[in-house]
Amino acid sequence: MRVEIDRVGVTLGGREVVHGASFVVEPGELVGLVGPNGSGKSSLLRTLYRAVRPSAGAVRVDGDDVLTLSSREAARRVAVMLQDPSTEFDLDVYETVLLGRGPHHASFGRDTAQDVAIVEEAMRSTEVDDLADRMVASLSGGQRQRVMLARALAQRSPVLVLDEPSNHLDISHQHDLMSTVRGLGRTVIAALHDLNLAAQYCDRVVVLAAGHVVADGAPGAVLTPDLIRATFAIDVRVLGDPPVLAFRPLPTAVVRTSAPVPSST
Amino acid sequence: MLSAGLALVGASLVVVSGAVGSVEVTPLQAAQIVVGHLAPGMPWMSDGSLTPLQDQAVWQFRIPRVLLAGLAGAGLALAGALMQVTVRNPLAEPYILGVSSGASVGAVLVIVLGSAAVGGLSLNVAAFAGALVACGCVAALARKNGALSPTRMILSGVALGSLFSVITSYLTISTDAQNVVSVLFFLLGSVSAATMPNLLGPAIALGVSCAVAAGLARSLNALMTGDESAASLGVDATRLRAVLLVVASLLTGTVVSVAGGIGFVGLVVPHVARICVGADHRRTLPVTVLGGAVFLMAADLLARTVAAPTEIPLGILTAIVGAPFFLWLMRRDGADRAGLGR
Repeated sequence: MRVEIDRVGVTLGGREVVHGASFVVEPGELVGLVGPNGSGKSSLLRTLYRAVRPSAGAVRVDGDDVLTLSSREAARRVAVMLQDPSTEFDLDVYETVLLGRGPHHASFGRDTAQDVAIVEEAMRSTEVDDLADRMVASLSGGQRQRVMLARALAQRSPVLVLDEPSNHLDISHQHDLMSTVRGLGRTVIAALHDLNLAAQYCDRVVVLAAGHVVADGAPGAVLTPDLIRATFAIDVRVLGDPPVLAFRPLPTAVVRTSAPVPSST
Repeated sequence: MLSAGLALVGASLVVVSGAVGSVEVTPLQAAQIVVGHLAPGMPWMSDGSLTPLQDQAVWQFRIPRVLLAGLAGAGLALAGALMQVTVRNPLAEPYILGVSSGASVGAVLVIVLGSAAVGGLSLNVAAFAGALVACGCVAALARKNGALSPTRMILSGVALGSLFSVITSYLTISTDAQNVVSVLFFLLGSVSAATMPNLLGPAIALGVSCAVAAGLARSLNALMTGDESAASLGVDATRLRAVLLVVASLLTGTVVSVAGGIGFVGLVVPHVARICVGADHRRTLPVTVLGGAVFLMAADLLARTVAAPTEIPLGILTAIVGAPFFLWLMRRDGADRAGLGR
């Protein structure tokens, strides 16, 4: 499914944190959203799964403004892997993954054999099947992240949104996660902190700085030393293609005097 | 399994309660009287084996009473479970939004000033009106930008609850001594005044609430994981919370208006259910409803027998029996299933 972010603005607590952001994710594409802390990545993603209403513009999935869809239909089109679910009353891993089947049921619906098969497959592909009976609260941060991915996969939606999916994951599970997601063939938008993961797995990278989209293109074209220095205030050397980035922090004084101001589009 | 067991225990409690009291009736006779009134034409109803006094004691006093205990217990436990997920707080209970304090003001106004002072409303109706006023105020105060925030709901409920409580206290200390006992009886809760007609309100409210809750069980599971997570699962948390607030308040208001402020059931029974069968609402809610009914029927049976002929207010019994049981259950290892390990 095609996802279209059309001149979206987001206002939180009276302050505009995203300004007229526009980009498109074509069906089957994996797009990385990168940018420094507070650049508006999560806020922009929230408009996709209706946790936040855009103050301007529209988010369209398969041509429909998500706000015009029913809650259930929206969740059938877009699944989200959230950072850290909180719950006061614990569900076990199996019950948590099973939540992903909710949007596919009428309110009285029971679990079908198909639901069970989908849930078990999602748990296997994220390697949490042996944790099925464990309480989510008793898991490590990385295990929880994988449970949240399993829940999103069990939703079987054509569009997948990932918000910092590699948080808490060790390096091998980071790569497992990205190649699992890569292999799904679904439309994926992932907010990523690790620029090397973005460079290695994404078809396209969209750079957000202070709420503006400042670059959008193939990783090799976008993740240049100049852009990274301007956006993240860090020096970087690019090795090879697809690019591998080696970072060296800049002294603060240098950043202040020589970092170019990000162009606002 | 557990639900079937609880239903069986509930049915036996009805019969046992019918057999216990100052007029002597055997459990068999009690069962005969119940069946005889439900199915016409039973031979034992007309062959003289049952005295009119026995029939009256069982059918007009004991059965309405045990049924009201069951309805109130089931209703309060269900309302408690719904409130706990609505505000996502394990300390929530049916009265957290000030419903019982509002009902108390209504009831105490009638007891102290007489029915004429509140426009001729009966005690039950005045209590119900008080409950609705309280709940309406809380909903209005907790609403901001179209959303009901759980924290604002709890805080406005607690603040309004204190306000209503002092009104009740003032009315109580400024009235004649003879009224104080009636006031205390209402505040602590009792099902002793039950009649068949006043079972109707709680029965309808419980039936409707059970149907609504059963339909929402999956959405309740999603709401448990947070508003944002619920949104990503296709559940509109704000709308769901408004529905739950209305259902739980009407249910609580109906029960309180007939049975007074019976405490403890609504807080503890949902937790016990979660400890036994986990937090998935599709399993927890049936156990909560049946467990609440059984718990309160048993408590009322004790309330009218342990110190007979004096009667102990139900609210005292529920806490004396329920608190130690709950604390024991909470300390066991299995309690972590209900999120009590943190």
